[in-house]
Amino acid sequence: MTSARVAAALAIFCVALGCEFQIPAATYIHQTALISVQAEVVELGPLNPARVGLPSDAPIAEPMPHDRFSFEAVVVDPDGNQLPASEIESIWFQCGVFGCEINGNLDGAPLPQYQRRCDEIEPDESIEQGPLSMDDRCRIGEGDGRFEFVVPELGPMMADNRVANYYGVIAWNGRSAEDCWDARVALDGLFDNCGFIIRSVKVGPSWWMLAYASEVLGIETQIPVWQIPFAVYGQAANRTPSPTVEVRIDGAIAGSYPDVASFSVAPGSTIALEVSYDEYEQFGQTYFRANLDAENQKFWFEPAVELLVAVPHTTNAIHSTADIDADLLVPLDFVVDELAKPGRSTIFLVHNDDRYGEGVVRLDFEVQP
Amino acid sequence: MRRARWVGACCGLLTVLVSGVAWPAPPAPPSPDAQRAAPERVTVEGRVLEAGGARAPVSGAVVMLVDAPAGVRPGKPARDPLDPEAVTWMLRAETDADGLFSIAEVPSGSLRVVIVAGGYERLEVWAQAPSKPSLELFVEPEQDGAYRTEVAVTRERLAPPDHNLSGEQARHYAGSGDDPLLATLNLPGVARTPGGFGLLSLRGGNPTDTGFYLDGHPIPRAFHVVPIASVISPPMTDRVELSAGNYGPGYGSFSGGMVHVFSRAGRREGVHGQAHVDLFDLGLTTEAPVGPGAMHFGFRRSHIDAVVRGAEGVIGQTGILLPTYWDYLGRLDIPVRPNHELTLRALGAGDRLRARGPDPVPGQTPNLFDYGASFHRFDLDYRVDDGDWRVLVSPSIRLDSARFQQDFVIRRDATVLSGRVEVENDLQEWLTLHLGTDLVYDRWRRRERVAAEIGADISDADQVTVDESRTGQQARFGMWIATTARYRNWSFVPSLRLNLFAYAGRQLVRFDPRFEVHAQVHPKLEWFAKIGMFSIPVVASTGGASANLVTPNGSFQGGVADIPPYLLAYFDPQIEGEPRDRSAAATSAVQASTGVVAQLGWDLDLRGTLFWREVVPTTINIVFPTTTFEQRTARQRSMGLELMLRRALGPKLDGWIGYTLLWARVQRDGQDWIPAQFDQRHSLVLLLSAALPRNFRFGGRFRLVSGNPENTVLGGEASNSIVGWFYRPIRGVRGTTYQPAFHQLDLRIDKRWVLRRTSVTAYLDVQNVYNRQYPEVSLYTRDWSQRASLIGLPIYPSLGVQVDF
Repeated sequence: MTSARVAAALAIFCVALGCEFQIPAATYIHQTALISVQAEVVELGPLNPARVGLPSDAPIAEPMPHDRFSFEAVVVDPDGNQLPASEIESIWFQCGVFGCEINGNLDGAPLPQYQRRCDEIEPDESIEQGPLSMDDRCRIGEGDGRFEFVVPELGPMMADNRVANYYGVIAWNGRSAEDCWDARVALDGLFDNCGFIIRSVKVGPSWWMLAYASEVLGIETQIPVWQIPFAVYGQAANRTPSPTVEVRIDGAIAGSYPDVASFSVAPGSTIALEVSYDEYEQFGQTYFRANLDAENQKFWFEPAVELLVAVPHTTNAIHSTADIDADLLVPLDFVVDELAKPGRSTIFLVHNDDRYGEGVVRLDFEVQP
Repeated sequence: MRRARWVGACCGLLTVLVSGVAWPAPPAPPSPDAQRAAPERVTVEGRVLEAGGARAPVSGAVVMLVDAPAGVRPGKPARDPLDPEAVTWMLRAETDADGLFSIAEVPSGSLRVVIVAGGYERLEVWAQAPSKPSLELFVEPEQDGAYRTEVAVTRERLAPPDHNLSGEQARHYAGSGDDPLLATLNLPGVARTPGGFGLLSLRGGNPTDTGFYLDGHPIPRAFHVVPIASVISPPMTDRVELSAGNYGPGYGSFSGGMVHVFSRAGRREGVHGQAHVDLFDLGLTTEAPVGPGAMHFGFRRSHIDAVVRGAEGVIGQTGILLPTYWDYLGRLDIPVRPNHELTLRALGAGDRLRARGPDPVPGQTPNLFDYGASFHRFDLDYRVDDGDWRVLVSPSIRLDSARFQQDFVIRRDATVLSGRVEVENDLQEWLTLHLGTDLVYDRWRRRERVAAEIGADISDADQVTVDESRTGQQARFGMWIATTARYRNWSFVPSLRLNLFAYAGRQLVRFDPRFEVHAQVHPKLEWFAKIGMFSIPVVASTGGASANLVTPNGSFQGGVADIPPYLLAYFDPQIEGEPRDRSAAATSAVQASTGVVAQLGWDLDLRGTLFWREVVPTTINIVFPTTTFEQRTARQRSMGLELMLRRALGPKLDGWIGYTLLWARVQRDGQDWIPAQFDQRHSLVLLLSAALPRNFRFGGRFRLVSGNPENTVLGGEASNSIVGWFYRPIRGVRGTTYQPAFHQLDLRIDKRWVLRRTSVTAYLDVQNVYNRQYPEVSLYTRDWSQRASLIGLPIYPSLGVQVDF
């Protein structure tokens, strides 16, 4: 009997016999954690003012160059308390279209691009550095839980990809963001009270911006502007989805968010959430996808509706009853601990669309004796 | 007490024999009148054979016939002790080469037959004279010699291996699962393989740096894909030779060491075979004379999938991996004419590994992935050993096939032609010339289909977006010349190997000079030194097909399993991708070693080796349709010490104590040096196997090995996607931390029952006796912020049964 056989046997019998490992559920907040970074345009820039589309209270999550944009970190402790922005520090970097690989080499040396500040980038032909654009990798700046900056000019790579990546270093519980960043770059410490996030942001609306890139900036884009039908220029900016959440406790409807956000439960109760979205608002979020007709080497455009996903996080006495491996498939079913003591437990529902719009719904449940 | 009496009786008999004092012969024939009452005189004939599966004739055995009381039961063991005082007559004879004997003038009636043969247990049975048919007497090998290994040393070999393991002997080592190739993992210079996987990392190199040969030709892999077993059935293994580095000029194209497995020719003295069954597989081998030659055939098939399915019948669907494997090997050895021998060989092995979703959807494939691979190989060896000339001509053809399906299908089929010619001539008493050439030509076809969307039917052309087929070929050709020059107690072996690599449309020529010197500096002490270059082709591959086969950081039990890269990186290099056109280069490793082999008392050999290995970096131009990138390969450096104290052929006890001290580093394109994947600083293996009375054999293995360098998880990094957040680990530089030291004790006990024509062996093997679960895999929380659990192998017993006939 070789140890290889033992390995195979272990894997087989372990799974067969249902080995239990003491791992906190993926949906359970067991320590203070960053669960969301909401992004929104706080001040429209000069480009394409018609993109606001239908009137809505939902924030615009899709910026264009020269917009004032913000990131807001949502950090939650195990009791369900959201840390105020003032108790959070952050540093933000822009990665362009790259994947925010901070330590690019096997020996762990950090990429030098992230050591420079965006506002210090000057054109330099000797290193093929033009004026600051969304293609550059650099340090944007520092802030608290909420960080605002002005989106720089479009670059050629961003014009073709239209998804910008940002790297956020978030610190809480008294730890400084700079300290977290130093540890992250040096790869020499543990990251207690630090959160790191590669935050992707859809830039656009795409087709208006592509025309801008081509016509105004003279950027040669993969999709020729003349192939873009006029109708798609009317595509509205993406907005963070605004869900309605119906809450059922022990099978009975207990209320709907946003009308009600606090509920009472008993130990052993079951909770089921059903998320829905306003059809009118979602119609306004229709967008266009470009497809290449390989035979004719031409692009054609088709309308698409957003894919919407909600992922729960629970605290204290509430646990998800779903199989915890796959986020996408998590049913929104929960149970209150049989031995729960009176007190508040919370479900945070992080909902997002397929264009990186992201929001958080908070539902409090008071466990009654 | 009874045994003491037997020994006493035996000693008495032998004393008489040796001292020349003859026992009285039977009384002379009486007068005709008295003849009516006297017993009749007859001739007793018979044959002495080895009991158990071998049934080999025993020559030179002393057969003694002694009078016995009436009423004994012929054929039954004579358990009553022989009383020398009561012996009235005795006749004796010796068996000839065929084990036959004949003794005339034996008084008819009851007899005690006593057989004494060197290396066999004494046999005493009752018999009857006259006896028809002739007697067949089976003697059991002495327990001390139960695992005798006959090593025929014919002549000095070119570049002998560092280690040579007898297949029969190595099967019985604890922790080696009856598999001689797995037993080589215990040798110095071989890294401990995590989780017992069959990866052979030699002297700090990657497992892919190791060459695997079976009977002179390469095989695509030495172990089955789920490396429960090697691809050659253990009873078919004659020996395994391992060179941890500085292998001979007859081989090339790999920068590490090599492992060479030799299959065993069939015996010519009868039909024999072996059947075995254990929890994982069952197999059968048969060998028999064929004309003047012999055949040997064996096959093996796993049943672990049936075990899993059986378990699922009780506990329900589990959705876990279903491994299946099989292998076979057959060979026919025929002497064509004196000194000319022809060997025909066919061998093959196959694997299938399936992962199934826990709840298969009707109409859709139930497989999360389905991997299958097999090869079949057909060889011909023609050997001439005509005094001063030795010649080997060996062509071979191999058919490889691999298929990997998920929401895509990759199928790779290849025809591999391999050839080897070796010529050796003793030009002078002090000078031997070695010449040779080898070729491996690989012609492949690769087809890839990709489903239009997840869950689509890959076999439906309408649901497929990519359907491509490519063909290609590559070859490596070598020619070598070497001489062995002997002067007094010294021998010098300079050699030169010419390599031609034809990869990815490029032809590259490299020369490998190598040099060995051996000196018998004392009758019991040999010194050796070796240095040489070992050229290797380097190619840029088109992709990593198995990247999604097992997610390195896959969800498991609500967390993330942090599976070390070395557990996945060597899954199946062939199906990963093909050489990218024009993207090939060549580099070489420089290896040097020196050491001593000392013969100590008690049949102990001590081998100590200092080694150094450096793989020189080179630049590959990776060619894309519109551009070309330059990529610099890594420099690898390892050095260390290997010690091995071995008692290989001891009658009661065999095994070894092996120790390796290793530094292995990698430097990538001007970056800092980091530890190599298998940089295990210390490795100590104690392996013992002892014969016990009553055909018991006890074995033990203890290992104490430094941990591998870790890609330490410092924390997690989130990224938002279109369907929610995902996390990836932030890892420290490899070697920031090391895994803890590994130590484990394995014990094994065998019991053999020797019957007349068969023997039955049962074994119990207990791994990790004191249940130390070594953390091979770590489980982290989903966001990588906490290491929550460690997975290791617990104590695990196993049973197996083997029947030899």
